[in-house]
Amino acid sequence: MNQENSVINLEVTLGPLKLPNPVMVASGTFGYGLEYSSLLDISKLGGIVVKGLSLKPRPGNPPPRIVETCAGLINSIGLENVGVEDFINKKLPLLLKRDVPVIVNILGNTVEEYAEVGNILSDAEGISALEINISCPNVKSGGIIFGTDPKQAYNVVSAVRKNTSLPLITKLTPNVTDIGMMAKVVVEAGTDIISAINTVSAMAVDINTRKPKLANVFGGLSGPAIKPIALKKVWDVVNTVDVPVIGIGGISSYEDALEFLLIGAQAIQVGTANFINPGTSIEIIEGIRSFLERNNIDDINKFIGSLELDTAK
Amino acid sequence: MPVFQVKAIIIENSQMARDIWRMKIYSPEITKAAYPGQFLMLRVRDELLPLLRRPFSFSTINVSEGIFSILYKVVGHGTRLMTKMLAGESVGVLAPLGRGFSKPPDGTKRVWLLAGGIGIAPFFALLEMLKRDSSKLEISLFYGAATGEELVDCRFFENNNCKVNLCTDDGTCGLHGLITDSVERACSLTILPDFFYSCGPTPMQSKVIEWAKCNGIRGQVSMETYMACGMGVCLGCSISKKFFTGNKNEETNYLRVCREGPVFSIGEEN
Repeated sequence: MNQENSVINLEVTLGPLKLPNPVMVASGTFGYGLEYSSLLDISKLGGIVVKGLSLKPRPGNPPPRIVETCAGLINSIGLENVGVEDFINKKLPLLLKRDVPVIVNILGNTVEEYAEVGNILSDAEGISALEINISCPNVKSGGIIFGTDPKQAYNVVSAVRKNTSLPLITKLTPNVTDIGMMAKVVVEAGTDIISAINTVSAMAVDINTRKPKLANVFGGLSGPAIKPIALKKVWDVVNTVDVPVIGIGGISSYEDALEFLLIGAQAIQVGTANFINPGTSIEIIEGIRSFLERNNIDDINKFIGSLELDTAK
Repeated sequence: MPVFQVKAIIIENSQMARDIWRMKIYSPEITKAAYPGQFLMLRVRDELLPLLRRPFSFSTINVSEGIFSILYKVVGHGTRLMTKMLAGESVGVLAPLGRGFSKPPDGTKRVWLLAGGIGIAPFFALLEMLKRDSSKLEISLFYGAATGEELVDCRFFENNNCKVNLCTDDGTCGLHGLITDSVERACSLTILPDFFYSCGPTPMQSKVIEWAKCNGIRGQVSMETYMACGMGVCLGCSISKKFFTGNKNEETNYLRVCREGPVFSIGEEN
């Protein structure tokens, strides 16, 4: 970092969560944090959101689990993960040596499971925040997705809230009619921060074999294809609630990242782009810094939420 | 094990058979680090279509020249674009990745290579490795494709004292039938191998594994799957452990083709 660069402030404060810069890597696209560490300096990241963890290890869905579509990727990994205990014992100690904020994504099939995972992680040292993935089915309620039902979403978030004093992020699904309403509900339930969006419900079929391209029939779409959808959903959330918002969805360049910041997201997460170029997030941080420098802006916070709307009708 | 993410220059890109092409790429660091059976993720171009990198196995590895090659089949948008690329242009390469082939156990005399379609790709580099390590090995190649026009030139194998047995699904070249039919037929006529290597589509691998278990032959299979990252992160390439053990009663556990594979051992614990 040269002298000139160092005067630009990239630090952002999301309620109780302070980050060295607004660029994080999204859950499920960066493993448990160290898989890519041979290719890039992960300590430069604003934060690492590790793969979603459940109480017990989950094997995940049968293959095929992924299919590429136009500028996008549909996945149905099925939340495969090593489980919270294994993460704390084997993965977390190595990750904490890297001096980067570690945010742990959590999931469950019941309200109680979410609460217990939250509780266990609160006792672990060094975690910066929890991110609740509410895009899971509730097995006790006929498989309704927690994040698509206001009451269930409220129950999950408030249950985790009771069990942790860590900063709490709730990651919203876009697969609802009114994401603003869902945002209100999770804020009432006690979330400190909202991240949005998770993947967009999608499917792909093969006309020759007449079969679905995913064993699970449908999955979640990510990648550049969903960026305009994500931007609108984040806009809806930003304009409905007062808590800080983390923008996610198809971000692959510093320009993409700045678009989310411009409309009021205070940080962003890079997802699918990590698969193509593991260094994307680092390049985005450098790109944002150069952009601010070119435009004589000394603090990223002066750019955040600075979208100009033509109010004259 | 180092992994390199580079822009590398294409040295040659030419058609080898119907819809089968070979691309030679210059990258001394990757060539030096690569091992037969390992793979690379190729970024065809820096555009949104295709979005993801494409996985290819190393087909030849020439350390002294710093050049490796891939053999690829034209199946979709990405590989169609690849055929248009010219020598001198550059491609993004992330490599070397995964676990490659290992040497056959001591005392091995006869080795069979089983290749289905584009599964022939890694056997060029593997044969060189086997010959280098043990010139006395008796090696046979069983190579099949849908039709004769899709078979690549096998003189390299013949010139290295490897007996070549061809077959095609439509009977236009070699034995009329599948690679597994060709193998079954050979089993009834000659002595069984001590070890095998197999690469091809998943249904073929499934039959090969069954054949190997029935005959008590150890070997290694190199799997083909869709991948997004190639580095063990996306969990998109997973395959059930049962596929290799054949034990339908065991608990479902998945292995990542990109990390635990793409080469998996058969007839011993992975």
